[in-house]
Amino acid sequence: MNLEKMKESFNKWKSDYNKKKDASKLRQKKFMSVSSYEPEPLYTPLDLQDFDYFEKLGIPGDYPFTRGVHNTLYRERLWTMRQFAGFGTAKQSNERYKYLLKNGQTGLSVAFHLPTLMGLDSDNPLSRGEIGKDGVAIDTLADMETLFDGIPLDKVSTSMTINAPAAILLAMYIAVAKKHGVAPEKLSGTIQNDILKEYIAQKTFIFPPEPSIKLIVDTIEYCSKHLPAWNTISISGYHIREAGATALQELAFTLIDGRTYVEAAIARGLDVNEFAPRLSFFFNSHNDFFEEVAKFRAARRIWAKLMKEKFGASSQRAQLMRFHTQTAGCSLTANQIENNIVRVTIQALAAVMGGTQSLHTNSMDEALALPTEKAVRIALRTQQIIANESGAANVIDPLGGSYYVEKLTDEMERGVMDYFDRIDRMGGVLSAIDKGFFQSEISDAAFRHQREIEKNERIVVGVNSYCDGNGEKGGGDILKIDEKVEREQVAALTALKKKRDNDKVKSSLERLKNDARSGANVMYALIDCVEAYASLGEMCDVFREVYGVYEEPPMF
Amino acid sequence: MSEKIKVLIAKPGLDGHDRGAKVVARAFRDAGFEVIYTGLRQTPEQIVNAAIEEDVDAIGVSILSGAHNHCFSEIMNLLKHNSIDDIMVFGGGIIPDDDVAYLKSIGVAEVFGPGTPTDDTVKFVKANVRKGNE
Amino acid sequence: MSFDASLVGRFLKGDKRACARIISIIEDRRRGYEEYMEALQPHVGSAYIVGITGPPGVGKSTLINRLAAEYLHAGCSIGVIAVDPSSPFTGGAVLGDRIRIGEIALDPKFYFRSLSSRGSLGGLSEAAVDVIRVMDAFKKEIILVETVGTGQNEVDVMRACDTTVVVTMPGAGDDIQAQKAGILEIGNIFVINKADRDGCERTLRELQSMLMMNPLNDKYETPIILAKSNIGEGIAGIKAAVDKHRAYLETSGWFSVNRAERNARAFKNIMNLKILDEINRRLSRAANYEEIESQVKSGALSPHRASVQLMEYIDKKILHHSTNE
Repeated sequence: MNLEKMKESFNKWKSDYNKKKDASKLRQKKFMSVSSYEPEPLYTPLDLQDFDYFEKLGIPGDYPFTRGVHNTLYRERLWTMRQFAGFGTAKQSNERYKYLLKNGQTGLSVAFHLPTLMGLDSDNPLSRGEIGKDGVAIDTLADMETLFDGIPLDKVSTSMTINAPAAILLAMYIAVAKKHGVAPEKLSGTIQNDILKEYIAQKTFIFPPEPSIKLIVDTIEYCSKHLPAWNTISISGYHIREAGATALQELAFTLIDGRTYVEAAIARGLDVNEFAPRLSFFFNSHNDFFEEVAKFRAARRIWAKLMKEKFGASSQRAQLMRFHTQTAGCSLTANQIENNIVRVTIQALAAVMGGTQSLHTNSMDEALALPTEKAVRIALRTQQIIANESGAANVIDPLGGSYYVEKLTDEMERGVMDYFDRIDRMGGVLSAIDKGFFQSEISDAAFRHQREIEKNERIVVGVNSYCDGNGEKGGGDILKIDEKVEREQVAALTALKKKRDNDKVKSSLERLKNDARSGANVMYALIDCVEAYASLGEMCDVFREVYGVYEEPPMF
Repeated sequence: MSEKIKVLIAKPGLDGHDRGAKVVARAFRDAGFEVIYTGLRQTPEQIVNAAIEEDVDAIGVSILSGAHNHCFSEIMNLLKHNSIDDIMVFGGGIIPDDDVAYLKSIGVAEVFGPGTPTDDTVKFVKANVRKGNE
Repeated sequence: MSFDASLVGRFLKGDKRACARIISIIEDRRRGYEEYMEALQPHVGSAYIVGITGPPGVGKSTLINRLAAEYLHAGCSIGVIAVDPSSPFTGGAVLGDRIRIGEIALDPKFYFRSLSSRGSLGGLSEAAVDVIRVMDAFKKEIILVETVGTGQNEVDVMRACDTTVVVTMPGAGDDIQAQKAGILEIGNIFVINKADRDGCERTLRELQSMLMMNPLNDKYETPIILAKSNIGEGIAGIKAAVDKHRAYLETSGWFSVNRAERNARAFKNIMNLKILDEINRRLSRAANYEEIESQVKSGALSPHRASVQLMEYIDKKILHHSTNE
């Protein structure tokens, strides 16, 4: 390539471009990404002058994994199509799972209702009005048995979106498998188990950060001994993005959370080459196609460097980042909801171009309520069309080498390093949480985004533009949870609490308290409690007593 | 003197989705309101108690968990029980149309769905709030 | 709006809403607010005021919540005033200090009020001092006053308290150093919260060496308490330390001296503000005020020269003038 010639022609182009810009011929004053990033109008080889292929990209399946974690990527196996589902009672959810498995879904994903996420039983007064609303109600092992009834746990992989009480739900899953006659080492799946993003964004925390991280390390330690195929944590940017963060913030905050867990596990004396392969990530995919692809690629590169250079991980499995992606719930509009199918398609395609290992596509009606069966089916079909009709899965990292995408990938990496420096200067993640740093960064970004829409600097189709007066407001069928669910769930729990061996419950909870106090790994005591049919709320109460509860700093 | 409109922004329900509540709180602040933000997971009792103690003119409730019918009727009942008729209640979040009609029938002044410009919410409160005791 | 005697009547019967409304009137300095202060005056004086200050992020709110619960448990009636100095730009404010009140929010013996900075007559500290008096009249036995940091406003608020607790945490050494002067002056009790964090020992030593610079007092030694407020550890110790400091103030006679000084200071502050306000009001009506101001703006007249001219005017026309304009 003749760089001199390139510079010459680039400068000529640039001056022509600037003339039009100065004459206000461009259709907008500002061109910006979803994250308010303003890209250049054109990228050329000049942007990649010092680009070292092997340092930046490598071959797929090799360090630094920018191009993907497998050498065959989707030619050997497509990504896992995993639709997050769960609502009402365990029995209703069980039926939905069977429906999805029959329709070609290859992994289960469990959504729990809010009381479970917050460690509260269904009979707690705070749970009123929330039972079975956003997910399935799990109070005891009995609910978990119903949830997985007739599902071959040695064949499916199950992803459970659970954080503060993750260790308890994992204990329940192990206990159910035992009853099915499935050995722990046969179990595969994921618990989200990422508490740091709860303080940062999602806010379903219970206990303070330090003991919460201790619980996470307990699960990592337990799984590395007994559940070798279980993904112990899904370090999540998804919720950070949903709370209003930019793509860069999502990436930076997620990676530094991941770094914090690795540090904690190493401090416990665990071997990085042993536990790191079971760490996984969970990202959001929003509308700005190229920004998202660059984010996914940068994520793998930064993580691989971090694991190799900072933590001395020598095995490739410990260096590579695997991740799940979900399309952006916050991008869905309540107006003209069918448009959401198109948004989801773009987002899903970005995730595939970014080399995701599994994908959840949102249903078009999720801005209104829980999705209907039809909407869920369209969302799944969207993935199947991308996989089988678009040709996108034929080539590995097809955007690699694009001037724009490589430049953007580099800028993502640099931006992440800047955030790392700032957070380290604050004394690390915990201290930045204390100071409300993440919360205020995200809150600023969310507010800016909202104002851009309101000032019409950002166009959202069907919301501030192209409103034709037809079908702006939702409509169609919306799934509603029958209030009966609440009564039934509470009645079942009350009956069970009478029926079970309450002496056994008491002594197992006592053991849990002792183990929590002494700092022992609590997984063993939790499995005891679970098998005695102690409830989630009872176990969490023990932790609340020993560890205390967390309240966030006010931050705007 | 500088008598400001005071608004309580409350976030009941067990979920932690406070993006909307915080964006609205900031919009009110920037419009010169004094905003009391209650934080997450407030019960109707706590919300009404806070509204009384802080002597606010309006209560804005952001709710996405699906428990809106339960929550708003509790709040309206508690206000009635305390013979309070000079505090306006408005809401925001994912609330189906049928439920919006019901909420208005029990005295909720307005419900702002997803995508409502914050300016609209601010303007509505400014126009409709009743400054008590004047 | 005129003085509403029935509002005061309901207030004295313990009606929360009446109390809330009177606080608003006084905080806003609504016309005639002095009459309310006057009506409450006979009921003021029995509360004990505890100030709690420290930088953001050290867990003050959680600590206050726990401490309030401790007092409630002991049968005391509690008022909390959270002073928030933020957001002077648009005149609006977001007050988030209620976030950490737990279950005690609904205890009938508990009252919590947020207070923002306002650009009215008197600053934040004057309003806070008056709100403390209202809560005192509302029969709160203990009033906890929370402020952030140690700016002049906050130090003024703390001076209105009987005991001041300064809260810090491990690793916050730099913050303490930066605020050393203010903190040493006002702190009667120091708390290192989140004491299970790394660096607690060091912070403790730093605090100890800073306290050594205090003048020797053989009757009262400033305690440093380690706490983990999220699980309630150290809270009883803080309450005991407050009791001890209170006993010291009462036996040494400082209690009444401090209170007398506080009353005098409040009077002086109010008078200063009112005098300033009144003179400014009259001055702005002076014939050549605008002209002088515009000359200062253009640089034709130095601010000093202008002030001399106006002081002459004040001396002749306002102070020597009989004042029935």
